[in-house]
Amino acid sequence: MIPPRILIRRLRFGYPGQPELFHGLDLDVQPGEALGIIGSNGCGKSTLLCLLVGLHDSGGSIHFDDTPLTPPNLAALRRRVGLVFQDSETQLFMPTVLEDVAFGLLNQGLAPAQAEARARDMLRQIGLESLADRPPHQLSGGEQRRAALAGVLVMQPDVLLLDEPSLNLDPRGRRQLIELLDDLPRRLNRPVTRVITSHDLDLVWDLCDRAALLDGGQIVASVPPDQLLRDADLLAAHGLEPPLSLLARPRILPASPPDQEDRQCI
Amino acid sequence: MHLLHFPSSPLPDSWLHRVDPRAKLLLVLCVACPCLLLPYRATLGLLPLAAFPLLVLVRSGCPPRAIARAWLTPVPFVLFLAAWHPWLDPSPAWLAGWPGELTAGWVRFWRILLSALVLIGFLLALVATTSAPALLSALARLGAPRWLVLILGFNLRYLALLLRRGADLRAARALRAAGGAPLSRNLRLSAGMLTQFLARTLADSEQVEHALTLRGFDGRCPTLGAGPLRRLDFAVIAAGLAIALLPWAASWLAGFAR
Repeated sequence: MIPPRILIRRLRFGYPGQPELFHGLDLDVQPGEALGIIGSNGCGKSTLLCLLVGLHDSGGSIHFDDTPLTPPNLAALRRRVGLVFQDSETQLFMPTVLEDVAFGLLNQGLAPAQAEARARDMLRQIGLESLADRPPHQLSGGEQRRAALAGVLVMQPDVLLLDEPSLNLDPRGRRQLIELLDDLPRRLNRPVTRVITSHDLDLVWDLCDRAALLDGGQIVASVPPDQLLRDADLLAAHGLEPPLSLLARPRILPASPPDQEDRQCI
Repeated sequence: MHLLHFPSSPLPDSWLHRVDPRAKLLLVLCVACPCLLLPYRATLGLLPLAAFPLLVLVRSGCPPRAIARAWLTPVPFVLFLAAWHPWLDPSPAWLAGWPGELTAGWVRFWRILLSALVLIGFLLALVATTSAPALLSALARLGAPRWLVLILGFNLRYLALLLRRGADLRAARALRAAGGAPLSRNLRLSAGMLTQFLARTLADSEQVEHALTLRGFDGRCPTLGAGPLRRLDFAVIAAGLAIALLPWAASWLAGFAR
C-alpha cells in the first residue's frame, strides 16, 4: 500500500492568547491527489497550510512520505513543498517579476543562466512573459497572484499548497488557473499533490478529487466534492452554503420543487 | 519602477535610457570626484558641469518643467546648510574666475550650492533614465556589498507596500469622514490610524519573511547575470571621466589667465 504523501496526526495548535484552533486534527493526502479544504471564515484553513510548512510550532505530527516535519528536516522539506499565500503582494519581494520567479531557483544553487531560462519558461506558461521586467507592485491583483504562483511552481514542488488561489482573479484568469493546476502533473511530468483552501466552492468542485470540511478544529467530512457540495444541510450546519452555480445544475436541484418564495430568493 | 516618475508624459525610451546602468553609475561616481575633491579656490569650475545633466535630460525626452521642479525641490535645504558660512568665516579668500574680493565663508557657500546642484542634477538624470531594479542590479555587479544592495532592494519593495497600505488607510478614512475635522487636527484619530498602520506593516513584514524563508533564503541573495558593456556604455564612462576632469582644467585656465 502506498503511504500517504501527507500524514497529519493529532495536530494541535493555537495562537498565543487565543483559544486552541486545532485540537487533535487528523488528515491524510495521497500522492498526486488534489484535496480541497473548505470551511467558514476563521476556521483555520490558512493556518493549517502554514503549519504544513512549519511556519508555526504545533503539537502532534506531520509527515511528508516518511519524513517528519521537524526542525532538522525543514529546509529539505521546504524544497519539496510550495506555498502560495492568500495575499500575493507580500509574497513578491524582488525588484522585478523575473528575478522574483528566479529567486528560489538561485537559492537552490542553479546557475543564473539556467535559472533565468526556467523562470522565463514558467512566466510564459503562466502568461506573464510580457511582465517579466516589471516591478511586482505595478501588477494588478490577478497578475500578482499568477506571479506568486509562478515563483512557487518553478521550483517544481512535490506538494503544492494554495491558499485561496482564485482570489482577485477575473473569470478568464480563474479558468486559466484551474486549467494550469489541473494540467500541472502533465506539465511537470510527475504527480503533484495539491492542497487547496478556498471559499470558491466551484473551484473545489472543478479541480479537487476530494473535499474536506474544516470546522471547530476538526475535519468533519472528507468525501468527493460533488458529494460534499450537494449536502446543503451539512454545509449549512458548518456555516457554508452550496454554490449557486451548482444549484443551477439539474442534479443539484432539490427533489421537490421550491415554493414561490424560494424561487424569488433564487 | 523609475524612481523619479514624470507623470505628465509617457516614459521616454531614449539612447540614455538604454545605456547600461553600470556605465551611468560610474559616470555619476566620476562626477562626484570633483564635487568632493576640487580645491575650494577652483569652485567655479563646477559651473559648466551643472549644464550637462540638464542638457542630457532634455535631449532624452524628459519634460523640462518636471526636471526643474525635481531639481529645485532640495535647494531650500541646501541653502539652509550653506547660508551660515559667510557669517562664520569672514577671512579674505581668492576664488578663481571671480571678478572681485570674496571671504572664505562665501567661497564655502558657493561650493556647497554648486556641488549640490551638480550632484542632484546627475543623480536626477540617473534615476529618471534608469529603473530601480536595474540600478540595484548595477550596484551589485559593480561590487557594492551584497547586504547593502539587499537592504536597498527590500526597502524599495517594502516602501511600495507601505505607501499602498498608507494610501488605503487614508482613503478609507476620507470616504467615511463626511466633512469631519482634517486628520492633522484630530490627534486621537491620527494616533489610531498610525497604530493600525504599524500593526498592518508588522504583519506584512512577517509575511515577507515567511515568503523568503519558504523559498530557501539563507542570507545570501544570488541575482541573475547581465550582458557585457557595449561601445556606447564605454563612451558614457569616458565622457564621465572627461567631465570629471573639466573643473580642474577650467580652474587651471582661470589661474593661468590671472
